[in-house]
Parts: sequence; C-alpha cells; structure tokens
Amino acid sequence: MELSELWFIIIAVLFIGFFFLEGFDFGVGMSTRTLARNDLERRMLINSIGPFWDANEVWLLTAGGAMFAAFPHWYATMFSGYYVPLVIVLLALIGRGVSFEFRGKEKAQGWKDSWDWVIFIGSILPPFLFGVLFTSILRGMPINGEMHIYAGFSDYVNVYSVLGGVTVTLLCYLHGLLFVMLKTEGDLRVRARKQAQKVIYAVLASLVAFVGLSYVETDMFVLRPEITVPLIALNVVVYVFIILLLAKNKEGLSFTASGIGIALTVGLLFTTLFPRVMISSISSANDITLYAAASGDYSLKVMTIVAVTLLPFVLGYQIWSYYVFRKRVNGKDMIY
Amino acid sequence: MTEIGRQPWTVFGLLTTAASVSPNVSVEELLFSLIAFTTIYTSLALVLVYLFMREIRKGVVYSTQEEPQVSVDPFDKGAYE
Repeated sequence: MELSELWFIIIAVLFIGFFFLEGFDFGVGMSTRTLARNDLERRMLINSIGPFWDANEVWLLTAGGAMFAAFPHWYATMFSGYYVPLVIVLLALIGRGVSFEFRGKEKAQGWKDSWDWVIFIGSILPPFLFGVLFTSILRGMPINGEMHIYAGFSDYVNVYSVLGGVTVTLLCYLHGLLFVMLKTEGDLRVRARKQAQKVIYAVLASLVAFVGLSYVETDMFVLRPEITVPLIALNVVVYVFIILLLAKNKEGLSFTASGIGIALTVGLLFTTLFPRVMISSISSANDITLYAAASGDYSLKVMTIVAVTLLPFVLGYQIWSYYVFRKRVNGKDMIY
Repeated sequence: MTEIGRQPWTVFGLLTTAASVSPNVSVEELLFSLIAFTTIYTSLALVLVYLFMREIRKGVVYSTQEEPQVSVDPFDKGAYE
C-alpha cells in the first residue's frame, strides 16, 4: 500500500471518529430543545457533554489538517468549492462553543435562553451541512480541468444532498439520545429512551431512502458493490438490532451499536469515493484521485512518523477523560 | 505586520499572493464571511468585556472556610462522588 492510500484511510478514520464522538454531543445539543423540559434538565444535558465536546471537535480539525497536509489539492478544491457552507459550519461551531461557557454566567432567563438557542442551532447545522457536503461530493460537483469547482445552488442543495444532510443529523440525534441514557439519571434518562425508540424508525427510513437514492445518483453500487452492499446490509442490521436493544434497555450496547452504525455510514461514503477524493460531474477525466491530490512522498513519510508517535498519547488522554468523568450527571454539583 | 511585510508572497519565494487566490470564491462570498466573522468576534468581545467588568466590580471574596480535604485521584473511590 502506498503512503497516500494509507492517508486516505487515516482521513476516513478521523471523520469516523469525528462523527462517532462529536456526533453524540451534537445530538445532546439538539436534545436541549427536544428533550429537556426545564432549565435544570438543560443544564444536566450540557453537563453530560461538558468535559468531552471540545476534545471531540479536535477530530474534525485533525481531519481537516490531515487533508491539508496529505492531499493539498483535495483540501484546496473542497474548501474553496464549499466556501460558504464551511464558513457557516465554522460560525455555528464558534457560537456553540462559547454558549456552553456563557449560558450560566448570568441569571436572567433571557440571557440563558439566547445562548441555549445558539447551542441548538450550533448543534444541528454542522451535522446537516456536513451531510450535505459529503453526499454532494459523492453525487459529483462541477469540477473543471483546473480542479476548480464552479457550482450553482442546485449542485449544493438538491433532493439527494438534503436527504444526506437529514440522515447524518438523525444519526447524530439518535446517538445523542443514547448518550443521554448512558449519562443521566431519573426522568431524563427514561424520556431519552422513549424518544430514541421513536427516532430509530426515522433513522432507518432515512438511511434506506438515502441508499435508494444513492443507487440513482451515485456509482455506489457500480464501483465496488462487493464491499458497499455488505456495509449497507450490516448498517441496516445494526439499527434494527438497536430497536431490540432499546426494548431490553441495554444502554451501553445500544450506544456502541449506534456508534458502529455511524462508522459504517461514514465508511460507506469513503469506500464509494475511493480512489477518488472529488468527483467531477462534468467529466470523469476531471475527477481528482488521491494519487493526483497527494503531497510529496517525503511529506507523507514525515507525517506518518509524527502521527504514529503522537496518536497513542492523544487517544490515551481522551480515553482518560471519559474514565475520569464516567459518573452519571445527577443534577447536583454541575459546572455549566 | 507579518502579512504586509510578506507581500507579494504567501509563501516567501515560492507562492505569490496573486497565485494563491481561489478564483472560484467570489467577492460577495468573501464579503459575507468577512462581515460575519467581524460581527461575531466583535459581539463576543463585547460580551466578554461586560463579563470581565462585572467580575472585577464584584472584587475579591476571601473565603474564611477551610477547604475540605478531598481526594483528587480519579482512581480513588471517594473521588468525584
């Protein structure tokens, strides 16, 4: 395997890690509006992700950084082509990040409510826009011979990409509800389960619809069906399995299963993409492959050594933080 | 200063600023992001100054109570109870 192929896999893994980890804190952020009934419950929800959300977000930065360093042409084409959506993602993440800190700094209800809305919008916009981004990349963007995207509105926003956005948002929402079940006590925990038992059907429906439209809109089933079809089948099995797990109230297992579901979904997108990193809707000659987009061999070699050296430490302290904050949030002694 | 001093280069001797511009990002899009970032940073700065001033006005509160002895070792059974 070439180093560039290894880095394509690393970036896929980083995005899987991002959606797995930040996915649940996006979901918890959404549930501050849909699940919480009062200020105390909202605080409990925010405290359940308080120690984790920022470290989870680092996975996105690392994925972006890895794209920049390993595949400068991929980075340049994608980030210029998706300038406005990515600016909106950034604004949403900035607003969300400060809201966690600011919401408790004033007692006035208006102050708290305003920041709570920023948390909600900042939690729902990024997964939706990333869903739109990845599905529209799979569908193909008008990329010319100079690797530039000159796209119109319907290239970004169409039935398929919006469905992709909704699917990713729902995946994160379910994942978040399952995390709430794991990390809270009392009424909130019970209601999270009830809501998850409803949301799971929406997740399944939207996943099936997404796969169906992928058959029409992309070459998901043409290029390497021997991998993508089992991935899809396994994904559906996982979510059906979660229905059973929820019925038996297996909290840890259903959260793990939903994590696997997210990994399979993101894995499916990257499997379909490989060995391309961007697909041109104008001509397949303009597709950007990972080989064409990659940095020089020396850069990749240095990056590999640095990444392999530092990764154990990063993984170690993240696991450590989950261990330290393993207790359920009980509504007392809360920071946020 | 560094940005002005580096002109006309983005990467000194290798890449000029003119060559590093994204041709497909329009002026309107740049204007949108510039206004959005300026607005959000200015408003957050104002909120921060307000919170800082409020904390400073409160002054220092000296606690007369002694800190209770609690273990901070997460592996300790009593920690984070």
